[in-house]
Amino acid sequence: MLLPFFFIVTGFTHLTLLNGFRWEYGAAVAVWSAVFWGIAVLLRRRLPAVDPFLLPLTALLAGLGLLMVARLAPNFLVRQLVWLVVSGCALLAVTLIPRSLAWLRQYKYTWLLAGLALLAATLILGVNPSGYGARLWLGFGGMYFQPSEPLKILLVVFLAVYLSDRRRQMIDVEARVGRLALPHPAYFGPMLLMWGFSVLLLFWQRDLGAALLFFCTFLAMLYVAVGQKRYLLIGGGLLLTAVIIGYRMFDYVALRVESWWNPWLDPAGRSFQVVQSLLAFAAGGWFGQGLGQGLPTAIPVVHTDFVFAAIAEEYGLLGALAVSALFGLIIQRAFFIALRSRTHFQQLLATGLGFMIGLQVFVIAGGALKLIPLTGVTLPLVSYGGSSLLTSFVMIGLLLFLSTRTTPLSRPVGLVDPEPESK
Amino acid sequence: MKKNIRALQNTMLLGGVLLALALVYRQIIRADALLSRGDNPRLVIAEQRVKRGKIVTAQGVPLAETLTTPDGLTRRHYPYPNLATVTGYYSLRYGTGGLEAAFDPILRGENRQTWLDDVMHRPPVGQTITVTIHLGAQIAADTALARAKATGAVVVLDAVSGEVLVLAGRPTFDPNHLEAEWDILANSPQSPLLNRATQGLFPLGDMVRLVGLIGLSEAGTTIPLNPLEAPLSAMLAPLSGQGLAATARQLRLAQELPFVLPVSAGYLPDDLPAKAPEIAITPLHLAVVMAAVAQDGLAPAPTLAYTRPPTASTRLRLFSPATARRMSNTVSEYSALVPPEITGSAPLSWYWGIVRQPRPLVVVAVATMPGATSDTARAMALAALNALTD
Repeated sequence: MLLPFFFIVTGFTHLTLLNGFRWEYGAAVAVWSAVFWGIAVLLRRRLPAVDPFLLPLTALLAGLGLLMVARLAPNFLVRQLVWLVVSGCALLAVTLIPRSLAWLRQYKYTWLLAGLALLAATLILGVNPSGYGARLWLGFGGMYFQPSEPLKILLVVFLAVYLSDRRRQMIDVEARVGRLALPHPAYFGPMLLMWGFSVLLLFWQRDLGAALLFFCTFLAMLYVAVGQKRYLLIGGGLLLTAVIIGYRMFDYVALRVESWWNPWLDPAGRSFQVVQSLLAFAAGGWFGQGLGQGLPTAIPVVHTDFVFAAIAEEYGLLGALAVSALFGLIIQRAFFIALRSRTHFQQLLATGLGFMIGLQVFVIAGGALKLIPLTGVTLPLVSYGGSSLLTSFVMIGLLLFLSTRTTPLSRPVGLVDPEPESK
Repeated sequence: MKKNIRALQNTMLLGGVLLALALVYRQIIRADALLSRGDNPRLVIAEQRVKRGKIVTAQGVPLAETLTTPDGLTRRHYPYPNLATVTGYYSLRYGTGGLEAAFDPILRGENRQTWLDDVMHRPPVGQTITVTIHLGAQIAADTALARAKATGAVVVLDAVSGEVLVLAGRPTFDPNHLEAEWDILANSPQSPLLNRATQGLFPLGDMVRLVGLIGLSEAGTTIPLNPLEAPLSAMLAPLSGQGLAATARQLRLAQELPFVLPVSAGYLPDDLPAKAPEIAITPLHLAVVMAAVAQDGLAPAPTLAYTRPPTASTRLRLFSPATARRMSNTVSEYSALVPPEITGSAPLSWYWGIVRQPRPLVVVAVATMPGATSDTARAMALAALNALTD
């Protein structure tokens, strides 16, 4: 935890030298320290067997997020600090209350339906805090909340419960459509229905990023549970069909695809964001311009969707690779926990959470790099945004909780001292 | 199921590798091509942060300076906007002109940045350019031209050193408002962006008599008794058309002067000597050629700044010392009025004169406007000279 601390202190000292002292900077260091030292101390006392890497990784990335908010959108820093406290509490609640996961598991349909109801509410009551763009938020008292964010967790939990319960039946082929062998619709149906409803709703809302995340996470978890490649083929085909239909029928999908395929056709108009993002990456070079010294603010909404481009400009290729590696370590820990989990449910849950985080990083970083079409999702733990931060923290909390329920590897080759098992 | 988890883990690793490769491609391989794009806002911001050097007179009076706003951006300011013929202009949108263009690398402080400056993001600091202009005389000449609402120029040159003390021209523009007025300036029929002193070609009219005198002297022909009063055609008669053209070539009238600002080469009509009055050159050109009269036939290289220009030039022999002596015995100032038949519009008044004390100076004035007389240009030249001695 010392390394993240020094990183944050150095960063804010740097910003102070650049912009003069602001009380928000001091508050950010204080709140960050209090939240993470508090969590670390409580976890060590109550759950000594908890994964030792996840919390420092989270702390470092969340600290980087605070630095980027302070640098890119300083007016939002205090609001982000409030969300950091809320998120820290949520992480502790998920990790320390043993019943929390059982709760989620027991009332999976209720939770998912509640999440979907909130999401549906945005169709009528939805707002966008910036005053334009997709109305994906619910607002109350100056704070905004994006229901599709917690829905990520609810969906992963739901799929983990469902797939672990019905795994055996889904492998058994009980129905055939032409040459295609499928499990019995009774086992397949409810899951497909729930998932289809979520994706449709998101598509309706024009939240393409979340729809993509849900679809791919569903496929990945299905594959892990069932292990049959045909589902991946079917899923891939469905995704391609959806993109083609979306491209033909909806302007906003066509726009995303076109500005990805050739942004240079309209660099000052429709592709402005992508072109500015690419310029930010290019300006970064090997070592970056230095925090607060680049011009990432030329990218519209840089503090949420393009924070990765801002990091690349100011911390350079090495910084961007380091941040990617940090996420890689989190995902690696998630899979490590999954491989050591005792039950199928825990395995699926850890895999789903790890995959969701990894995919989200890939989708937004790939979009900013013009590797794939741009869809508006946040960079977990780093981007500005309360719902995103809260959801990321709860996901980490769930992983921390799951790490206390693992067994040592069956064949600990090269593992000198496997972590003690917690009872 | 563990096998499936491992397969998924490997897929994600592949995604990570793909992302890393894309980062290397965008940040290193394609970076330079991207950054040089004209719509890169970083170029404009970097340009705005440059602390451009000042343009000052020898007395240290700033003619162009860079003001810094609280957010670190800069703005070019011209305290004497009527001196655009000297300073030129600097604009983010339209680039540079005049001295600002000629000394751009020095004013921008190019190649003076150390690696530490780069790392610390210190903006480049340019060097100061000191001009040879005499501010009082320059303003007096410009005011005289402006009051007369004339199209014209006044040039005062140190005949020995080549230092340009006055380089006034009208119509002109205010470089402080260049961006706002660019379209008007660029499309105006009066061409205010054209520097009349260095680029304006004015027909010599009767002023060509001076060229003829040099030609006669160089050819060893007897000079008429009253060379300044005799009819022009009679005076030029001993010189054939070829002889006059050869003199014009000898005086390099059809060549561009070596000068720090853009200059125009003179115009020589084919039908000489009949069309001799239509020979057209710039006021600066006439001043440089006629400075040789005071310097044994050696023309100075005109300079506008004490900082050495990118291309250094030396004094140039235009005619023999004997011709120079003969000329200075015969004439020390001359006025001429070019009629509308030759100018094609309003009459044009020329003046050339040499002052020997306290130092050899040559002054040329030209003004075209309705109602111009042969004394119009002389009055403007004297206004500049008087301010010089004040």
